[in-house]
Amino acid sequence: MATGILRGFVAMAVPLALWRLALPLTGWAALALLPLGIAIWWGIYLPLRDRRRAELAVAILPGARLGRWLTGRFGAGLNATLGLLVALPVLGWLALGGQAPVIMAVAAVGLMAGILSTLMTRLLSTTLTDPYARLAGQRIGSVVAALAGLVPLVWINWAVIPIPNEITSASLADAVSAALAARPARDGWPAEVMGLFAALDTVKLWLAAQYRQTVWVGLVFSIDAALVSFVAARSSVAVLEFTRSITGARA
Amino acid sequence: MRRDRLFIRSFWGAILMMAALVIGLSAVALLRDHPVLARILPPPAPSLHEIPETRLGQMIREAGEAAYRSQAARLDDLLASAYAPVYAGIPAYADFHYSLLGEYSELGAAALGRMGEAMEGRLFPGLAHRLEGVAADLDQGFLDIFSQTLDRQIGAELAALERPAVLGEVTRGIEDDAIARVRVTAPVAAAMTLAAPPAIKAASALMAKKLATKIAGKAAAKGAVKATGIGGGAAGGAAICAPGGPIASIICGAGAAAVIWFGTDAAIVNLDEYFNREEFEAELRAMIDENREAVRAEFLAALNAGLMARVSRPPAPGQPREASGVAGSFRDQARP
Repeated sequence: MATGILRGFVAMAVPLALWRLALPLTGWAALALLPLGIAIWWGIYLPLRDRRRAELAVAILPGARLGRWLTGRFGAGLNATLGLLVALPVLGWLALGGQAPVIMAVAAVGLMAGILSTLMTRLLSTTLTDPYARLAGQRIGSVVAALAGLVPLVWINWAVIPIPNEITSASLADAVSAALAARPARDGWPAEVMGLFAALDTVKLWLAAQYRQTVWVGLVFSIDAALVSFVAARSSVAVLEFTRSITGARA
Repeated sequence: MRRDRLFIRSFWGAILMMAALVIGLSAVALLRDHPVLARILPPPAPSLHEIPETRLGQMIREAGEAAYRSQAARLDDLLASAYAPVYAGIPAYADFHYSLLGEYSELGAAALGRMGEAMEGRLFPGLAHRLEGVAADLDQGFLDIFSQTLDRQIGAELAALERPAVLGEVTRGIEDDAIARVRVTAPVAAAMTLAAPPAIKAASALMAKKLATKIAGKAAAKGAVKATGIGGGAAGGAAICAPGGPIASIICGAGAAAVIWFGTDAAIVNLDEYFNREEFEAELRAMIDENREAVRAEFLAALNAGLMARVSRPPAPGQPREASGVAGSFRDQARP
């Protein structure tokens, strides 16, 4: 189990690390995210497809015409694509602009999600068939790990991450332009997507600063920032599923 | 099956290659400052950095404050230099004041109501021009300190960045604009060109008024002494020249009266100088001190008006640059 989790962790951490280190040097750094994107897509697609196939095997009569079309690939592919479109930019932005305490906490959430999903899958395998046990184990493992990681991440955003006080007196346009100017000067769509995230994060921080007298606004801001733990947990479980599938290992 | 194996190998090969790149880039980043690597590697390309406008505004205000403080601290020395010839001229003016020529000149000027101008010409020659020089000096000093302080603050901001960076065009434009505004907006020289001559005239007029009162008092006191002396002198002169006839008596009488008039004046001026010169010089010094203080206040007001016109009010002192977390930010801002 440990080797499998380590393999999954490496497959996720290395592309993100290279993306963070290489983007200030070249726009080609976006290529580093390609293997990670494949791993996430495939890791989400595979268990969804297998479960859907199991359902269809029960629902559709053998030899029926529709059986050729209803294979579960389309639904699983759509879900995987949507998951990838959310996960990759969020992880990319986190790796690029995240502060060290946040990155460490998210890495811990990813590891914990891998361990919990493996344990849950094993536990459920005694009761459920493989496609159902895998999907349910992964979902339960990732949600529990994300919820457990939410508390430290909220605290880190609430009390640890330094926030420039200038933002309290800056106009929204000033704050956003300063955040965009602070990014590495790169052209291309990865830089544009990261710029969108930078602007979005600054808008949220600016709003929290404007309503600083209201404590719940700050709390909502911190919780919102901590929601990245769900994306990180789900993605790490997907990558783990992918590495297991290509190495032939079972949970 | 073979295709799957190729895909798996490619995937892990890519991950391994990326891991090697990560290790290499991390090592280079860690050892960039190592002397051997620093010679081999090209210096990192600086990126453009824009300072937020609000932060830049704060820097401009701080630079303006620093420039104001430095010039206000220089003001006393500059004024001491400008007024040195005035103080040095006090003994010469006292010599003139305690002479027959000086006394009659002052009496004449007082009678014509032009004593202020006479004093200005004798005691404050060239002062207005020197004060204009002081104002120009302050303007240049303000501009120099303002530019240096702003450059230093911006340099510190850039040096604090993780990666080498140069100033972005927007920030550079705002900085240049701020320096240009300091150069042309409300210069002290312009304010003092208008304010200095009236201040000197007012001081001269005040001194002349006080001096005229003294001279009038002195003249009245001398009048009584002279009346007795001249009457006796004229009578004595007339008696001595009586054998020469009535015309000779008149001429001798008038001559004796004139000698006694001026003799009495000279004696009284000398006595006055002996007893009162020190006090007179001290009074002149005090009046010049008073004028210098008034001019100093004018200079400070002009500097302050310039500061207000060039940069607006600085933020409240003690405001922290950053806070830890949103909670930290709230705590800092919630303080009354």
